[in-house]
Amino acid sequence: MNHHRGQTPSRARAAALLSALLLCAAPAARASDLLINGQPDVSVAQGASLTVSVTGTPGALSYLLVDVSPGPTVIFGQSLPLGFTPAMFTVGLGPMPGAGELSFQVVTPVQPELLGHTFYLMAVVADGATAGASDFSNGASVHIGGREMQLAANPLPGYPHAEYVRAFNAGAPVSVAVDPTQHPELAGVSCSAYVVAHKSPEQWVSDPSLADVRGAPTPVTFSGADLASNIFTVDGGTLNANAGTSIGVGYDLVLDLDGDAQLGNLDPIDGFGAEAGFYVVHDVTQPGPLAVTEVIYSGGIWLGQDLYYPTNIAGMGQLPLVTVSHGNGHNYQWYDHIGYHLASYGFIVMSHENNTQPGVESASGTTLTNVDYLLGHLDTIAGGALLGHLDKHNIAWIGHSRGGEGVARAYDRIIDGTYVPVNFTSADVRLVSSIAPTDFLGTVSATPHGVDYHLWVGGADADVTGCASNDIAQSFHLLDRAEGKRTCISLHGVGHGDFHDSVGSVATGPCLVGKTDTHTIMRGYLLPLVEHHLLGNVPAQDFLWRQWERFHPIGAPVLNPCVVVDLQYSPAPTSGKFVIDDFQTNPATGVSSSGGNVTFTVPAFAEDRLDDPNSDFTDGASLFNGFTEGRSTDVTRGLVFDFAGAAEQQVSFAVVPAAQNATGFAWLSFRAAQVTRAPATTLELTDTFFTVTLSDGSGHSSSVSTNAWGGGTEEPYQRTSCGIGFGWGNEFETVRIRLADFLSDGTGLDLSDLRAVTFRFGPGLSSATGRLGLDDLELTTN
Amino acid sequence: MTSTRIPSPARAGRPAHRARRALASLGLLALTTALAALSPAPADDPLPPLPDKWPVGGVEVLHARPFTLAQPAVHAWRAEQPKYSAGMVLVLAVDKALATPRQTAEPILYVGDQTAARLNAGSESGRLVVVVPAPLGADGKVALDLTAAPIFFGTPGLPEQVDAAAAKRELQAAKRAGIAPPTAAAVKAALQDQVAFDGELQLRLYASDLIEQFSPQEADLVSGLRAKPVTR
Repeated sequence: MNHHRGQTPSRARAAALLSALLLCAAPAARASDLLINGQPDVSVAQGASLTVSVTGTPGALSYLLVDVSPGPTVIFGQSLPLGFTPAMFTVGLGPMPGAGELSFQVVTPVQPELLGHTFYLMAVVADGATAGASDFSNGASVHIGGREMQLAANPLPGYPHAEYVRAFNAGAPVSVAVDPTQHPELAGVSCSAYVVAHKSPEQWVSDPSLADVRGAPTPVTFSGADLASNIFTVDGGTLNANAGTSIGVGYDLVLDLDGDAQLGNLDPIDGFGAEAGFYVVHDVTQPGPLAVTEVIYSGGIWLGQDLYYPTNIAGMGQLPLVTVSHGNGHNYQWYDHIGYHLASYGFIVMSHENNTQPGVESASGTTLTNVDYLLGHLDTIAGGALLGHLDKHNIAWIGHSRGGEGVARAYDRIIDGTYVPVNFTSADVRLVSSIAPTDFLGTVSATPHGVDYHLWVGGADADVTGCASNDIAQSFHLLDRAEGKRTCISLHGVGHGDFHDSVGSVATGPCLVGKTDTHTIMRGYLLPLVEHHLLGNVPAQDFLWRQWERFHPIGAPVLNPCVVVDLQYSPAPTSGKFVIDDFQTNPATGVSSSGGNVTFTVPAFAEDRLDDPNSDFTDGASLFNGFTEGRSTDVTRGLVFDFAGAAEQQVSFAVVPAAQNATGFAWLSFRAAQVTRAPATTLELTDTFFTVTLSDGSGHSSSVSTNAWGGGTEEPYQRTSCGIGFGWGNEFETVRIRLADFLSDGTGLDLSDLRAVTFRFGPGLSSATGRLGLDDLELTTN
Repeated sequence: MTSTRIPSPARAGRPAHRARRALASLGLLALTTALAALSPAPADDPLPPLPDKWPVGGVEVLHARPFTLAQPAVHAWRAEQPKYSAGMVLVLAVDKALATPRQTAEPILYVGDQTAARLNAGSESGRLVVVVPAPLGADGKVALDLTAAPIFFGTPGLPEQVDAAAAKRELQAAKRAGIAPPTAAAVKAALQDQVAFDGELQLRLYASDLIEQFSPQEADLVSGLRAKPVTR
């Protein structure tokens, strides 16, 4: 860093100075604060200006310690937030000013070799109250990036004006969006916007040349005063999306400020990292480029298998395995739509005989034995074609109906130790996906534990109906038992038999979707699902959570007005997310599960188990009518409330100190559902929306509407029976809002001091009326 | 069976081809829309309702083949998971509604106080091919007297959760309900000579012949049961 104030001492002098400081350190106290650009942790571009602020006793000598390790290090019983490595150096800052706060500017050095490095800082200020003692500040960090910033976006009709995304469908326009309030250095700037083939940071350092894939860059001028007026189309939909067997061709978007057709240190770039700035994706409902071979064979009793693999597998590497466990009365040859589709993209798919008729325990056994058989006989199955080409450590299990519960039970049996696989371990199973599963075995046994879990539900299912009268027929139970990453797709108008490719939909209800369109949706969702979970494909994730109305596979049957798709997405606890309230603990309505205060002005406000308390969906006294996420032995809980009227109503969650610095998080996430058959729901039968407001400790706030991206929280599927009235079970949809969206147009919101998340209802803020279920309010990293 | 399916050509192409492809896509879209308009809308396809009260009789025996197994098999349709070395393969005429596979609790088929292992669905044919384990008599004959064993659908559930006590309760309920065993004449007409199988695999292949004969709609099931063994 180029310090504008103070001089970098020599290493020897620094060591001596540090020793002196540490000798003076006992007793030490935290009476000094260190902030960089107002935050303890910042990521900046090379050449960027930083404001470093240190507080301490006026007149006391102050120093800044810089290291490459964050520590902590215990010295004289004090835990100090620095590594004290040999690389550490000390900067003398001089005496603290009379106001007790010292502030100075630093410019980060422009040296490619520093890219990607993080430096850790701590201030030391002589303690004015105790002779010979020092105060140590909090730890702080500076990450040196390129001029990495979000640029690739879709324009939105309202606030936050731009939707920064990872995936664009082929043929769709791509825009560049710059908020001049967050990036004042770009206000009024004219430059060239380059769309270039993605490069890694190493590639950028070795070859900073900008070669626009469209032939020439787009000239842009960020002359607008706000974000909305600084959004420009940089491509009308011409970008190549042919990713071969993958999803998404990666591109970086660069603003060439100095016009030298090189990525300079001051040029903003979206995509300086392993991940591209954005990806253009082809129609994932269409088959992939590989020819597929199908082989049907038997390894013995209950070992009939239908295998699909790329015909040219001999020339390929190790491919992930997807298995399919069929449902009761179904057949293992009824999943060609899964097998051929995924194999054409380089997956090995095996659908097997499943012993479902005796029950789910038997079915789980045939899931396990068939996977073991396949993995143990690679030298003989299909003439040994798979030998050396199957990645045993990258397996997804899909199960349908009883088989859908069976795959969860099979995983549970491995965890419980009642089945010990010969040829794989639980860690090799990376994803368990259940299609319309039953729940015979209940809380203890029908559980996917911590594996990534995915669920399909059809709203018109005439078999695993979801009606409140039968716990066995409530598929959502398994989703809410999952302890890892959870994803779900629920489809209105889809029957139980629509998920396989034999005859019969086993469907009842209005506006039925039918098998053909269901399979198109399945293909378009399944590929991203396994690409995301098994291969870590980046743009695939967008298909799993973005509002269907806003983003869906190109070939999705959107002309069919009956197609309604609701998505849920919740990262695993190990992802580093912070749960503000999942309603599992602190059952008092005034306290969140993270311990913060919850205040509300909405009526009919209650927390409880997400389990319809009676045997039908008839609207009645219970606010939890229509919820089928758990049975009596399950612990899943959530919140229900009404909203209506001319006056604003709110539900507000205080953010506890542990999460008030939200700069390390990327998203605010929650799931919401309309409560079926409630008058507040049926009065306005459409997608409902409301406003989410974040507030900081300085009184700043910023709001985003949940319909900013089109759609909102879907109305219940208008199926009858299961009591009196219209509307089937409540379907949660996840809403994920980028925290950065709350900063658009200079709201002044300080994400390092987040104090409250408030859901607001009323004229101009929300739909006119509704009864909502709410759950899993989280700050997430991804 | 081995087959190879060649997918459509690679999606992306040179820019010069894109306009043509866009026009083709528009044409395809129009065609798809027109076809969608002509296609009948998906219709309700619910499961047939089940009776409110159990047990339910009305089952006829069409075929009865006693068998022995050289290699014992597991009867997965009982909580005890007993092994068996003998039994009877039956073909039964049943109410299609009762036979229709369900993911939730199905009516459990009993032959006397034993659960019957169903090998097919039977929802379209009304014919079920089942295996009923039975002891072997001192004379080497399968000791299952069908004229003394009511055949009925009992309380819906999972057969793998039915233990001996529950099975006896269901039989008692059937008797109380007046469900009679098959007549001697019916059994005589259905009864075949006893056959010896090496093991369950051969038993299932035999059953596949019966399914093909009595429930020909279940071609996938038959072909699946007859899938070619893996060989080195």
